[in-house]
Amino acid sequence: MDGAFPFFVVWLVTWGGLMVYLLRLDLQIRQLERASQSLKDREREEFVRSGEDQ
Amino acid sequence: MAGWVIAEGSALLPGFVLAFFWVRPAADFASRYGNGEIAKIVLVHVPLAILSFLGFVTAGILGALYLGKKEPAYDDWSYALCEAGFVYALLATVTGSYFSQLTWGAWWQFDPRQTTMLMVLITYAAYLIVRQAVEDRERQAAIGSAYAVLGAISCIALYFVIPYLPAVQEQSLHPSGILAKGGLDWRYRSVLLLTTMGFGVVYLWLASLRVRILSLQRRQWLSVLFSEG
Repeated sequence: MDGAFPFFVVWLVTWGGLMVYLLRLDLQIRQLERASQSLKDREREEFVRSGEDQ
Repeated sequence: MAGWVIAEGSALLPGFVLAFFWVRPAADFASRYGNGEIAKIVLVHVPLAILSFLGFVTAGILGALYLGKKEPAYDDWSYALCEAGFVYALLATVTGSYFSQLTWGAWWQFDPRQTTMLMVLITYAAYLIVRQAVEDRERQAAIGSAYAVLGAISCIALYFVIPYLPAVQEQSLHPSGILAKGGLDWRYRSVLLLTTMGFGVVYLWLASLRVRILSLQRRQWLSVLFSEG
């Protein structure tokens, strides 16, 4: 089984590397979706406020 | 996060399990390097290298389409494929370097294959930096697409022309000839196909996430532009 250790290391490094990249993309998507939601909420608030003023 | 782990695992795990428990140590590698198990590194290293090449060439084609039609989706996919391709090429270099350490006793020894792969990495690291440096979106897409086309042309030379020149092959210790001559049995070839498909699915998935980010950024930028206007 010792002989298989290098292959295990290679697989782990590759899997881990791809997972780090994947989580980075996921984090960016979450941040953008949050920002887009808060932008929508602000627009809705402004719309309601402008209606109340009139 | 657990969902991502499961999804990535289900695409890559079957190949790993078969490689680990079903594929036998390669006799050719055992006689050359003293450990037949290290041949299994091929099952990870080769798909990473092949898919990075295919990604860079497809990105070049999409870049050319963007330059002709000015459709942002072409540039988005071109960029996404280049970025994911860079990650794959980097992992192919790291795994190749580890193989080099196991077989030749040095992590890096400027073998022609290692040198051409380093040139690919420098080319696409520059692509990612150049893209970030341009602020205007249309110029960014035009410059990025033109770079992707030139990058794809240089990739063909760096992956498939220079390493196969007779003078270069004489100096190279890279064991690509073992696979070409059928030195690995049918189990290796079938698992290689499976791991290539698994890594291919992950590649397209990663690229599609980047495309989604670009689309969200564009939508956000447009809504800010309209609210300011």
